[in-house]
Amino acid sequence: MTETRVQVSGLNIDYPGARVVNNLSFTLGNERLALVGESGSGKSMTARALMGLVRQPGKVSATELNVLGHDLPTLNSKGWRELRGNGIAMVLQDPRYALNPVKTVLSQLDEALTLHQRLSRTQRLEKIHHVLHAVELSPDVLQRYPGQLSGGMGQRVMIAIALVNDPKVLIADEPTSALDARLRNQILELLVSQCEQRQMAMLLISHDLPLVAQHCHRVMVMYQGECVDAMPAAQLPNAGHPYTRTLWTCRPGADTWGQMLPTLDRSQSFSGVNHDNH
Amino acid sequence: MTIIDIRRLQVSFGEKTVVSEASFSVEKGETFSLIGASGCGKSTLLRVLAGLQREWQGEVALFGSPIKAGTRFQGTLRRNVQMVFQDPYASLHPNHTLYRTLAEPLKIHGEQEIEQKVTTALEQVGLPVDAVRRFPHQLSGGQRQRVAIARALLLHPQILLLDEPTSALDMSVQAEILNLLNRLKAQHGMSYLLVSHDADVIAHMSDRAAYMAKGKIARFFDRNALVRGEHRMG
Repeated sequence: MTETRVQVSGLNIDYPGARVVNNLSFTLGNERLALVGESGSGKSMTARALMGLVRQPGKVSATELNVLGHDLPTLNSKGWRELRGNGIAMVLQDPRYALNPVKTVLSQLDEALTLHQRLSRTQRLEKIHHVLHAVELSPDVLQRYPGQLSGGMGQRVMIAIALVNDPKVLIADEPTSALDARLRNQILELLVSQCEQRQMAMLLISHDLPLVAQHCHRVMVMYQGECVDAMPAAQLPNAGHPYTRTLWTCRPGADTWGQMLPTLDRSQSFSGVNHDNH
Repeated sequence: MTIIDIRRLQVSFGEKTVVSEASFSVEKGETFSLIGASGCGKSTLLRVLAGLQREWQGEVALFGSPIKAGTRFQGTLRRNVQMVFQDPYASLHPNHTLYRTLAEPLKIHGEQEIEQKVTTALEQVGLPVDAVRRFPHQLSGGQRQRVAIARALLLHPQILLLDEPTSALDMSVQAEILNLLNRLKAQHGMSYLLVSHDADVIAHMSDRAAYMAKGKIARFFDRNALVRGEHRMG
């Protein structure tokens, strides 16, 4: 970790009737950090707060919320436009919903470039071909519409759109959960190799612990809007926290045949935050 | 006893043949799984067995008696074969309360004491009894999939067809649903035909499995092959 790229402390996100993220603090340098937890644990909302995408009536408040030196709460829409794309970019879960169905891949990539950089037409095309090569797609997908792509190709297009402006921080919000098991590793390996080539930091959001353990440096475990556990990813198999342990061991497999899988006792409260391993 | 027996099943939609020459059988009390990439025809095969896809060629026998293509499942047969669909967000009627969703199959089959049976079914899958007044959008994904399983089990079927029952769910909720399915199978003595693209789920659940590719069954796996992970193919 050389420099701090994202600094979050005391982040709260409130909706009328519920607080979805409560007093969350973390930093992200040039590394890969995983945010794990079940649906509704607040991990996607945290990512959205970093992108300025929390919609009304949601309210974001924090003692510090800083991305690449920009203080997010004071940012106006021009400032956001400069930060998004160039500084921080996001890959969403499902290419079927996140891509514009009536625009070709080429025009969606081109749009990302024209919005965030001033480049000539030839320079843009060069960049587009370069990024397509990076995500291992052939140039003939450029003329296609999202409906003509398979799930894995759609996901690669979304990654290409996120990478085309060379961001310093990439947020990947469950980039593999709409894909089948075989494609999951391919896409994650692609993300990891791009992070290393481009010296890009990644915040990976997932509910699959064994998967993130292979691909990330650090893990933060969220439950009901709070960080309940944090550790280096390599330590996950030895996690002591009961919630983390269940998430780690609840994955089925050949050895668990004929046995009951461990499940969460949801009546239990897991808030006894373990910050020792930070 | 063989309860599902399929020989040379073929399903075509117009020009396109999605299942060709599929043959396999499932024994009573067994969990048999189909694995394969998207679009290989596994869900279509399941829909034939559920009586939803009625245009097909070949021979299909359920509980030892042949079924005819083009006919609706009725009476005991309809009761004995039930299905749980992939997407719990799409498989429950959005404007019906859970009570209406769950009571409907019972009413159709002329059952008595409907309220009592709906309550028991909800308890079985670990949902609170007062959930009957809720609508699907007031439940989480895992709860909805429990409702779908409760609905399928209400008529005490002998075969449960499971089409990717956990692929829309979190890992931790998936564990709960898989446990629930295994517990209910032991209680009711059902047979499962499970479709999944997750090799880990298959290895955890199945007694036997088959790999489907391009509408054909390419390979069978017994328990030993599943333990060795032979079904994890590219």
